[in-house]
Amino acid sequence: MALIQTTSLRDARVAMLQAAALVALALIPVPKGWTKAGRVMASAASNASQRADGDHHATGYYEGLVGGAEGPSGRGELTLKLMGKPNGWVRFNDAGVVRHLNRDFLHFELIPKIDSVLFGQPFVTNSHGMHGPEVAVEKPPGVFRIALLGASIDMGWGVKYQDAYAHRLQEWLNAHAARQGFASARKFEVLNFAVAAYSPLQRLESFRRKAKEFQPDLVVFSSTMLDSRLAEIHLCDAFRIQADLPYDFLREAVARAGVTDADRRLDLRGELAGKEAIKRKMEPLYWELYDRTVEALAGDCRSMGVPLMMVVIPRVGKDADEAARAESVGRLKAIAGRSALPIYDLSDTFDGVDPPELEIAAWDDHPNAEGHRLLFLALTHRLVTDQGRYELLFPGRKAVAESALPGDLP
Amino acid sequence: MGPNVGNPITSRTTPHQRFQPPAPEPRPGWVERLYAGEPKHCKRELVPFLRNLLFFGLVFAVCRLYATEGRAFQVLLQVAGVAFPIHYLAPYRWKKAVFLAASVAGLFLVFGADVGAVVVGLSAAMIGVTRLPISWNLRAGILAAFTTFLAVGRPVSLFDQASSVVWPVIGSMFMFRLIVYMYELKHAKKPEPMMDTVGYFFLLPNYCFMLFPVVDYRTWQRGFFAANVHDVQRRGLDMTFRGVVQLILYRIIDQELLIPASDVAGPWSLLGFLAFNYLVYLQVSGQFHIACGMLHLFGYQLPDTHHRYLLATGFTDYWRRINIYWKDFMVRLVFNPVVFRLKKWPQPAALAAATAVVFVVTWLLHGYQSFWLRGTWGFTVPDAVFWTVLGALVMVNVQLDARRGPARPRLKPKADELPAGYDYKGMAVRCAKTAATFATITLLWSLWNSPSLAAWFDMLARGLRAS
Repeated sequence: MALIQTTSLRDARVAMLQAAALVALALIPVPKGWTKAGRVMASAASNASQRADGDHHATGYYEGLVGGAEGPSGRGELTLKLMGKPNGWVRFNDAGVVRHLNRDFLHFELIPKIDSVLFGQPFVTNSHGMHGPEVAVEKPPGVFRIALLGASIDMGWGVKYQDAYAHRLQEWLNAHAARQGFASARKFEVLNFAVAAYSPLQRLESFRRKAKEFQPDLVVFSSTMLDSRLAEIHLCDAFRIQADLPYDFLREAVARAGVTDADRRLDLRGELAGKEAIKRKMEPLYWELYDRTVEALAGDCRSMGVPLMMVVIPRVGKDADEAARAESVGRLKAIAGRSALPIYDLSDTFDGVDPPELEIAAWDDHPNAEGHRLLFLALTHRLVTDQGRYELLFPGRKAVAESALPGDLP
Repeated sequence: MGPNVGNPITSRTTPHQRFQPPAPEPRPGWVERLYAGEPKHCKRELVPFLRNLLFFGLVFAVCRLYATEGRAFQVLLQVAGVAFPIHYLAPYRWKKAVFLAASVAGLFLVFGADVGAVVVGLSAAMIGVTRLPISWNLRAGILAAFTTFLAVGRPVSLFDQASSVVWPVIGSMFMFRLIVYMYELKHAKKPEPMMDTVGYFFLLPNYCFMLFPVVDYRTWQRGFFAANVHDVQRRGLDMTFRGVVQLILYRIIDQELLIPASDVAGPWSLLGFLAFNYLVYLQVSGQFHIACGMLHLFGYQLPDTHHRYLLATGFTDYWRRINIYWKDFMVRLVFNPVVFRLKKWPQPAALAAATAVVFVVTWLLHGYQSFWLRGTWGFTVPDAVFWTVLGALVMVNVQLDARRGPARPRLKPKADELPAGYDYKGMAVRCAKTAATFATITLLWSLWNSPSLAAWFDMLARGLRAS
């Protein structure tokens, strides 16, 4: 049945009109209230299914072939090439910036003193493996330290550390302190302990092993909409590398989920034989684990006398739009509430901005330098209008009202 | 004397008056319409070409605005956009070279010089072997050994220097087209032109669509300027646009409508999952339409790759409509040779055996394809069950069709005959058949995509349980 039907001129004209209509549809902005239509249009123009860290629903034979081989952390090299990865663009796991820890629950960490290029941007770590400038372990007098625990966005994935919101915050706090007359008495350091793909449990582990030692004065726990997915990846990896589970509440959850030794068995390639079963069994427990993780961190901070707060950081694109994030944000607020922690919901920071203007690449929805600037502004805005946190940073000062933000805000 | 003697002045004109200057040569217009010796299908005309260029511009704008596919596709679309008018204006004898140059440029632009150079080198080696002046059997043997070496050697350190991208690209170019080409060589009466051979393996859209339709060599070769170039271009643009629309629909389905199998709970979610899980195939049909549509821009007239497969009224009908190139590939290389070998068997038995062999080979070749594109064979129990059940259903249909005999063409009513009333019964039967085929295929598709039989039954149980 060799079908060769000539397209008539009339049919071609109809097709051209349809193409023109599609062009118009893409150019005319969707009215504000039309959430569903806006989402559909965003999906029509989004290649989220083929993203670098894609975890999309379609998983059949053809989807696998179209997507190419799966790499150890998401879509394969071929997919990245087809999606637009320029030559020389190296993946996080291939960039040589992390080292894997043998049978260790933390699993991996940034290599200290790295001077490399990651996603086309300089990637520099200090001697403690933080994506940021050099700091001493011993806190200098007059320095107020903020320890940031988080994942890829907080680490500064795809931007140089000077552009990351954490470093911008440090710069602004110091400038603001100078304006407020603290120039000689108070300096600020934002220590970035965030590492890409760190799950909430790894953030807790990182705090216990590293951040504590730096005597922070404030701990900021950053959350994202992808945290339950990160928890799943981390837990499967922990089973795969046969790491000991260091927390009672985690061991108890794993036992309650019914994860068996057979599930944790490794096949000949060293992969988890029962990975799908583990994911299915653990899936209902991730939010409970999140709750217990924050509770444990809050307990640690309380015993050290260090205030802890949470922030909710969005990704770029429609996967983080209001409808998609509502449930996760609600759960995170509830978790913060149960541990009596202040929480800044910055998840609406990118609302209303065209995703291509904010993402580092068409195949990667991490925020670029402009996205980090917006995050920094949103975070600073919340800080200067929150008396509790503002007074902690600038003792004896009153938080300014929203209507009268200080002139030094960029 | 003759009849003009009476008035020689008026009746006779002088020789210089009888001289008619030859009609002036038409001034060369914006371009030569048809060079000497060119086929008439090649004739260049401004208005139809500009119309097609406008059509291309609109399709291009849609692809840009909707960010269709990724950078690779956008790059190749730009390459096609530049090469399209050059190819159109070029003399016929240069056209194949222009297409080949655009294809090779596309390869290097998408994958870079390192991957491009290795791909060109390996391609030259394989194409070189196909043209060696030795027996066909020896050439086929050398190629089999060479490809086995590449396949086995992939994980070996010898190949570590080459980018991992090289293998799927080489696989995509050669895994099926080399088989088709060698089959043609076996039956060819004269050597194949080098330009056709190289051009057949270096197809421009291949570098953004690794999963590529099995284009038949002879169909591709014979389709070159087989019809008026403007008609071919228009058909290609229509195919491309159809493909782009299907890719947009695929995104909406994948991102907005398809739920994970684990979320199935109750009949409605099961129905939604089954339907949308199947409809994500629009990605494949969309890519195939675009791939073949792009080839039309360069004068290659090819058949449709898919034809309204969602409206199939039976399993043989489905097999004929979905991935038509694959069906043709199997019919030529497997079905017909098997039937021919079994010609002494009773026809039903020969048809059944040939159909069974086609599905076994299809199953194996899907694993082979997965190996080249993903690096894993991907054979699973659901995969085997899927092909067995589909093969059995097609086999039953083939038997029924064979008993029924060839369909009689519908006669047009005579002029003095009253037009027959609308055939509601026939339409209802057709709708029922279409619905039944669609339902069966969606169910089978969910099985194919399921990680295990147990997971599939579990999903069905959750879906059939009243919520």
